[in-house]
Formats: sequence, C-alpha cells, structure tokens
Amino acid sequence: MYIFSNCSYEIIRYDLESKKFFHYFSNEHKEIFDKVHAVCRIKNDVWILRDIFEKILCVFSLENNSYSFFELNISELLEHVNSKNKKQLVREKVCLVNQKIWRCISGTNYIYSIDVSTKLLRFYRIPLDIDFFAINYDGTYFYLISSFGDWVIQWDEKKGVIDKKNINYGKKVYHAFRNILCIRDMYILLPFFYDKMEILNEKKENGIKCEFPAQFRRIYDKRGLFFNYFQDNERVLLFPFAGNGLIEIDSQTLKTKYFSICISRKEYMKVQIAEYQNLIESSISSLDDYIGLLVENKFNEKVSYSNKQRIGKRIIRKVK
Amino acid sequence: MREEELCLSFSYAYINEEYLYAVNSKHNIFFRADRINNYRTEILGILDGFRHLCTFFQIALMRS
Repeated sequence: MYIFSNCSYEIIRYDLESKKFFHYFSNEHKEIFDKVHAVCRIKNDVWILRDIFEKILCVFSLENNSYSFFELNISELLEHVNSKNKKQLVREKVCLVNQKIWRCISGTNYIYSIDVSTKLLRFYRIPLDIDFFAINYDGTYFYLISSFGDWVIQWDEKKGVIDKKNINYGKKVYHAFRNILCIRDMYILLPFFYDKMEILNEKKENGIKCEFPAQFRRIYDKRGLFFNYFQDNERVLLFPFAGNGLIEIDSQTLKTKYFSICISRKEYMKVQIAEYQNLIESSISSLDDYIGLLVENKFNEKVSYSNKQRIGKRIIRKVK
Repeated sequence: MREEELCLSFSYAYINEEYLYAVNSKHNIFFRADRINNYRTEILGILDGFRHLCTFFQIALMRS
C-alpha cells in the first residue's frame, strides 16, 4: 500500500504483512512545491500529476520503487489557455481511458489528454460557452460538469458534444459539485458542501433525491464541505471536512449511511511517543525539539503559543 | 465527537470488504478501521516521522 505526499514527491510504502514502512524520496525536482493534484496508476507505474501548467511530470515505478521525470510540451496549450488565475482543484480526479490520462482544466472549456506511451499532450476545446470544473468517464462517454453545477455535458473524443443537459431547472441559486459519477443508468452529482442536502440522480426521469443520513445532519454544520470522495465499485464514500465520520452511499439503492471512527488523543500520543523513540538522532536536534513536538501535538491549537512554551519549559525542567 | 477524540478528516482512503485504510490530514495518522466490527480503529503509524521539506501526507493509498 502506497501513500503519496501532497506537496513533494515523497512516498511511503506500508507493507501489510510485515507492518513496516518504507520511505522514498527523489532529490530531483524537489524545488517544486505546488500541490500534487492527482495520482494515477497505470500498470506498475504511478503518475504523479501536479498543476495543469506544470511541465515536469513524475512517474514512480511500483516495480522497482524508482522515480523518473519527463518534460511535457505545454507551449501550445499556454497559447490558448491563460495560466494566470487558474486554480486547479486539489484532490482532482483524472480519467484513464485508452492509455491516456484525461484532465479537465477547471474554469475553462478545455480538457486535455496525455498519451501514456508517447507522453504527448493533446488538448480539446469544448465549443460551448460554459466553464467546466471536473471530468469523468462512464466506459463509453466522458462527462463534464460545469463550474456552477448547472450543466452536464456528454462528450466523445471523435464525435464531440453528444448531449448537453441543464440540471439547474431554472433556479437562480447555483450549487458547485465536486464531480459526477456515472453508475449504471444514472449519475450521481457529488456535493461540495453540506448545505446541498441531497445528491441527485439526474439520468432518470425527474431525478431521484438521495438524502444525507439524519445522524450526519444532526452532527455537522451546514457550512462545512466535503474534503474528498472515494468510489469503490457500487459504493461511494464521502469524507466530511473536520469530523470523524464518513458517509457511505449505496449506488444500487441510493441509501446513505453514516459511520463514525474514533481515535482518542491518548491512543495517538501513545503511538507517537513510541514512534519518536525510533526516529534517527538527526531528525531531532535537541531535547527542546522533542518536547516541542510532543507539546504541539498534545495541546494542538486549543492552547495559546505562550502557554505551549510555558508547558514545554516545565516539562524540560522535570526531564532534566 | 467528544473532547478527548481527535478530529480525523480523512484525506484519502482505500476500502475493501474488511477494512478502510485512511490517512488523516491534520495529524498524519495512518490507520485502518474494521468495517465488520463497526469501524473499530487501529493506528498503523504516524507519518510525521518521515516528514521531509514540510510534507503532509494526504494523497492516496493503493495496493501494490
């Protein structure tokens, strides 16, 4: 099992059998600090994708745990799309279709593909006056959702726009959706915010409304947003930001369940202290560093900086 | 969520029939929750120890 960093090319491998961690890091291109937006596995290679306008692409081989880099030719794309003020979605989902990685350039009507074998980039302009936000693929067609969450476009590389559907029904209030999932004969629009208390099944006539679980609505503030989502066959999981729960949506029945996961601060501290003991000496230069880390983690943001310092000093005195 | 619990905010997860593996974005806790036993959790490790250049681990899990 691999865990990828979101702001460097650092990777951790966790061996499920031996329960050991292995650490990988590349010294090449470590100057690039912008966020990793997506990772995409193609056979035994993992493509680490950064911002749309980042020329350097990194590929990590799972076979021999090694890195390789190449430069993508994006000059033609830059002539068409202005890279200024374009903020690509972090935790973006990309599509892998016919050995090509497909991405939507958020906030524009452009999408592009990277051929995995030739490493060539090709971009496409959707001939509509709509800014798109995310892309997905249902096995036959691509689906694009607009930035305002009011249009869904069905698109094909050869045929172009197949279908264009307004899903706002003339309402003046717009809801942003994180992405669109195509499952069987329906698509589920994944919400960004909790205030959109339903997930629409728009492909069927009149749309079926799928409500969030009552327990979730009781616990979470309406202003919050979903951090991420994950699709696994017939299940979709939504992860709310700042909380201990997850929502599981059964795509067959559209029933939703709320699950809560609990890790106590005590348990966390116990594991952390055990792990710090195994750290190599150079990672922590002084006792102050060590105490600082423990205090920081134990009291978190609830204690002011001066209090942390005071508590830290008291611990140091006792330890000495 | 009670006072003595950590706010987990999973940043990404891998799920199979038995377990949900996830990374918490704030504390970099890598844990698994037993789906059969009402999501009972087990911390597998804290990824802070690997931190290099202020990295936060929160992107993806996948089977090798």
